[in-house]
Amino acid sequence: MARDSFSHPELGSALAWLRARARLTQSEVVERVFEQQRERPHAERETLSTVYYQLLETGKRTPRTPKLAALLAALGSDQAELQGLLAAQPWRHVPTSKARISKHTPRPAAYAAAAEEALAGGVWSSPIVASPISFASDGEQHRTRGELSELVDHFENLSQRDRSALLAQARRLRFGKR
Amino acid sequence: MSTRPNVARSTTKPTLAVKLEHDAVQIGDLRVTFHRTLRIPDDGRRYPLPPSLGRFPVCRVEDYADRVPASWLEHGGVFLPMYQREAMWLSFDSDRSWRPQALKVAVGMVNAVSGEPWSQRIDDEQDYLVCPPQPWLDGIKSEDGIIRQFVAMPLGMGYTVEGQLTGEERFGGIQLIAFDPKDGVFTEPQEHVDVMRRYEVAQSSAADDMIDSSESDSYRPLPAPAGRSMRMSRPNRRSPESAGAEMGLGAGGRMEQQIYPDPYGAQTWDTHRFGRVYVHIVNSQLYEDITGRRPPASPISAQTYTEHGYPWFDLYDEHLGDVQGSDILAGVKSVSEIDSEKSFKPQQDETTVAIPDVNVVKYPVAKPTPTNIVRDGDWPK
Repeated sequence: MARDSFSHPELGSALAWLRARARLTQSEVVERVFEQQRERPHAERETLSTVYYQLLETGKRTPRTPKLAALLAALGSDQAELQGLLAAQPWRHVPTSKARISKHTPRPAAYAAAAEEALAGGVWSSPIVASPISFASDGEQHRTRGELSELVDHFENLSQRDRSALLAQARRLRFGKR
Repeated sequence: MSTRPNVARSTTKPTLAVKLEHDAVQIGDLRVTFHRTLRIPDDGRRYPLPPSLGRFPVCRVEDYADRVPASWLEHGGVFLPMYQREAMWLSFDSDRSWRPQALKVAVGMVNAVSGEPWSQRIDDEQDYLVCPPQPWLDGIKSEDGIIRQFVAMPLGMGYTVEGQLTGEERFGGIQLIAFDPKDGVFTEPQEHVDVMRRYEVAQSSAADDMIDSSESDSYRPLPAPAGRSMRMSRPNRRSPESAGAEMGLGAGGRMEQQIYPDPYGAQTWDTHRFGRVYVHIVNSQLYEDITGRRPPASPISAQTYTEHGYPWFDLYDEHLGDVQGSDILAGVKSVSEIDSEKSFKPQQDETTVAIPDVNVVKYPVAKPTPTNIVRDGDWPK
């Protein structure tokens, strides 16, 4: 019995996008499919080669639905996400080419000359305004500064709700219950 | 299209306001924070991004003008302490995220993206970051999709990126220059205005609930330790006391990180409106000599961190693209490779760390929204 195949003009781009997200090579995708099949010995096996997968990504082949499902599972995705991707087509927003950088390798003297020119002519850095902040000036200052640094980092990574809870807790600890 | 020449001479004076707040340097709107972190194994494998283990304490050079090497006074800027072979990463954020800035990062006056000599030019050969969307930078851009971790090494031993590319280690540290966009290129979205208003109201309400809001200690550097003046007698010369105490950045293990291509184009940036900061890196002894404070303790190992099941990080950012890897920086040897060449015994555990996928937290990075960008033809002349 002929089984359904999945056809869409952007399917190859979607598979490539999912593979890039999963940080896999084409052969690693195929290997993952086989690994998943080994873990489910009673499930129906799909034959797949790296060459065939390459043809899928370039739109030169149309996969049967079970094969596509196996591929999507290997890519950490599923049919529902695929449908969403095909609608949104985020790969169309990828820059068309990588940004260029120079391939010219400068001589060592060029580095020194550029640095000396840049640093000549007065104080190089912008004037820096310091914000009001102080730390304990006793023997605890080392620990205090480290702890404060950690607290600031935690605070900045919390949600607004958790920040409020943390502040409330800090006030309770310092001032007792109101 | 603006006809303003897109070149700023190095001698042009910086114009953007720069401030130091909570150990973060803010240039214009762009806040740069220096994070302490694990040193990832240099074993040839690609690792996800390590966590922040707090910030490096950052001090203004001018607050310790009588104690720092004389050359620092010519460079100005800030300084921070690192232990030898300690790792660092930089984070970037802004209170006005709708208005990005371009940022060049150099290590020892060598561009960390391109590996080229210092330049203030902004052109199509991208050697700068655009923040946002770029949230973090963990190292030098050595390959496509890969960076090599920033690792501190003393100047004069040939380990730093600067030393390997220039043959000498004179500058060290990190150099930052941030450029504003040209006037009118970005306009503030209405929703951002509303958010700020709500924020201000919330702040005001919260203030009423504060029990004690009277603390207003000003920033004040600690007095110099008695008999420990580090002032140098001649510019650009290091005294015996500071030899080996100033640090530069070398290359560590490999991590997956992209440098996003400029989504707006080189012509977006106003090279006449910029701010610069020279970040001197010192070892723990010189830092204590200068400030009277000890730096934070060295972070735990990657192995120990991972054994505790703590998270590593990655970004959903494939849709943002990647700047090409630098051929120049690809040739830079890592700290452990140089150790091997010098027949030094391994100075850190380079044992491969197995990081389960479930321990890797992935964050999405939003693509810059084009709605608030004024196109070329609309720019002020």
